[in-house]
Amino acid sequence: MMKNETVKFAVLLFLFAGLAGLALGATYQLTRERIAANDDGVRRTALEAVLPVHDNNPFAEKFAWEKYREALLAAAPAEFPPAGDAFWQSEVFPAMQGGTWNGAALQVERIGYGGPVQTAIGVDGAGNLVNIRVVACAQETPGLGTKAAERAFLDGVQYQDPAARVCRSLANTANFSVNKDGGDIAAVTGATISSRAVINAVAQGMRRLAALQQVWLAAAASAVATDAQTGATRPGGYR
Amino acid sequence: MSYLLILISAVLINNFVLMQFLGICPFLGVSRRIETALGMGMAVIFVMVLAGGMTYGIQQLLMPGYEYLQTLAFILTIAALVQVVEMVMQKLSPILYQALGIYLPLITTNCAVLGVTLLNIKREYNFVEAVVFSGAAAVGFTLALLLFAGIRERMERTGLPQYVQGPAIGLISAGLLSMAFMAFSAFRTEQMLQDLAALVGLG
Amino acid sequence: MSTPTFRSELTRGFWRENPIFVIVLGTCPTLAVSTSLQNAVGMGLAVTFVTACSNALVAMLRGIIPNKIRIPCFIVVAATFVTITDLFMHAFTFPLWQALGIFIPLIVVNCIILGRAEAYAYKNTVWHATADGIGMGLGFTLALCAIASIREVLGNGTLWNVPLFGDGFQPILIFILAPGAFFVFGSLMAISNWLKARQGGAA
Repeated sequence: MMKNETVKFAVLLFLFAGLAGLALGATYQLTRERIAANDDGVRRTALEAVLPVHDNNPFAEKFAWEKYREALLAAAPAEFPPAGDAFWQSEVFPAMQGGTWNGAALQVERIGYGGPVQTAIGVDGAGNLVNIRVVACAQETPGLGTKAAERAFLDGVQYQDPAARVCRSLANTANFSVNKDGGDIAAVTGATISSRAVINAVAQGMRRLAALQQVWLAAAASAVATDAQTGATRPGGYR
Repeated sequence: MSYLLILISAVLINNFVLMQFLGICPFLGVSRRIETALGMGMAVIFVMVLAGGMTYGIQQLLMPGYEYLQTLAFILTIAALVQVVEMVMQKLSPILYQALGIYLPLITTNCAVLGVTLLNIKREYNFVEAVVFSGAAAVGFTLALLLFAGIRERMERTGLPQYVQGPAIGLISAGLLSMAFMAFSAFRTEQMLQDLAALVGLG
Repeated sequence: MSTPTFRSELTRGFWRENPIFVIVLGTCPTLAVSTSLQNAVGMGLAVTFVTACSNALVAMLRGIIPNKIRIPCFIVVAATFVTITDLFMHAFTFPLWQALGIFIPLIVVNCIILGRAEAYAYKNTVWHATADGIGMGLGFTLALCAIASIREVLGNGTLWNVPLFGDGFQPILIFILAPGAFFVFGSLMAISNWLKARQGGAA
């Protein structure tokens, strides 16, 4: 008797959950594209804003770090995670000016106070941090950590000399971290963890891009050399 | 090393109840006596650690493209878990079971439990980190609960006006407690832990 | 007791049995989301939608749901509508979705929804249950907005993101932070208790 009842309950609950799942699946199909567009849109607006000067279409020419993984791991193994890490699938948006490499835009991420903080940075061919924008920091403390997304703080990160608008680069900033860690950059008062999330992510992104630039230029140079030997021509002199 | 950081962060710096507002309902309801508060706290620690581990496994099973089933799957897991804990407790410790009364099944609707399982996923913890975080969050909850029970036991002997008694003064006291906990944010936790590790020779 | 009508069930949740100030349910999101009026309205409407739909469906199915497994069934219903709301907000109200974060899936453990399903929808008609759901949801929204307005004006100097004071205004930061939430909520609750006591005395 009892057993029958339990079986009946289990079946009923299972049916219920199944119907719920179906309803959710239907809703998901309805909203899926809008959701993807939203998630991408946020990223894309930020990336567009931070790109260095370019005359190509970085979004059409984007590639994943995976493309140059072996060369990068050989050149700068300390900066990169091992093969297979999710990082290698993330994308770089290259900026070309007049056929030559002028840096790239990419999105970096670090865990801040309450969750991941995503920052978009643009670094040009000379290694200057041309622009920086915090894409998402909704989990940081409102009014404190969220100030890490404001210009007052970001200008301090982007410019070594804000008045003269001299952008930071790995060359002109000896220690790219917050003051508390012995660095040259001021954090948001009372929100060191959120500030660190931005600054450390940016510093690592810049170092990785510097390595990528070396590898990319070497690859492009050897490609041109091969073309010269075989007599083939490539449009724009790259790819 | 990072486990210690997760622990201190969840218990003190970013206390689940007083800073993140997860677990308020039972916090206001159960915390009148220290004994019940302790019993509730233990039950919550048990449930949250298990829930953290189990939901981590379930998340792995949810194939990409079906993430929208996460909420449904997690809450059903938690409900089932609490049901099991109830049955076990009834057998093992009927006294505690009686004392906790309705608050035991209410652990299912404790935002802290579902909250911690969702945060585990959001912060992309691995399995061990997820379990540590779940346990630490529950310890933070218990700590806040105990402190609060102590305060409320005291307050019942004061002569407060009718309209302030109960949840109203409870909330205001919680606010003061929350302010006290804000002092922990000033800790340079990472630096402190590094110094500690160096002292002990962990490096 | 007079016969319940749509209107009476609807307005009950506004003041007389306000879920936040009187029944004291759904306190977690109240504290967490009330940092700005926009977030409060967004969360309030989401909860109203979920409560109304959940109440309606539970009332519709009350003949089929066996008493012994009613809680898990309520949970499935609530989780379904919460996920639907989450997906729609992710798609159509993206900035609000980002701001509310994990508190959207946490609506499923908002005691208001399960509480009303258990206390009301399981025993009443669809029509009345829907009214009750909408009423409770709107009462929740009103209370949330009251708290959020105070916190936003005092803690950020804005209302609905519109700056109210000049540049020289120094916001009282504590109101935006955790303790401020407790203080404002507790104070408003005390005031509401006092008002009720006066009403009760006069009547």
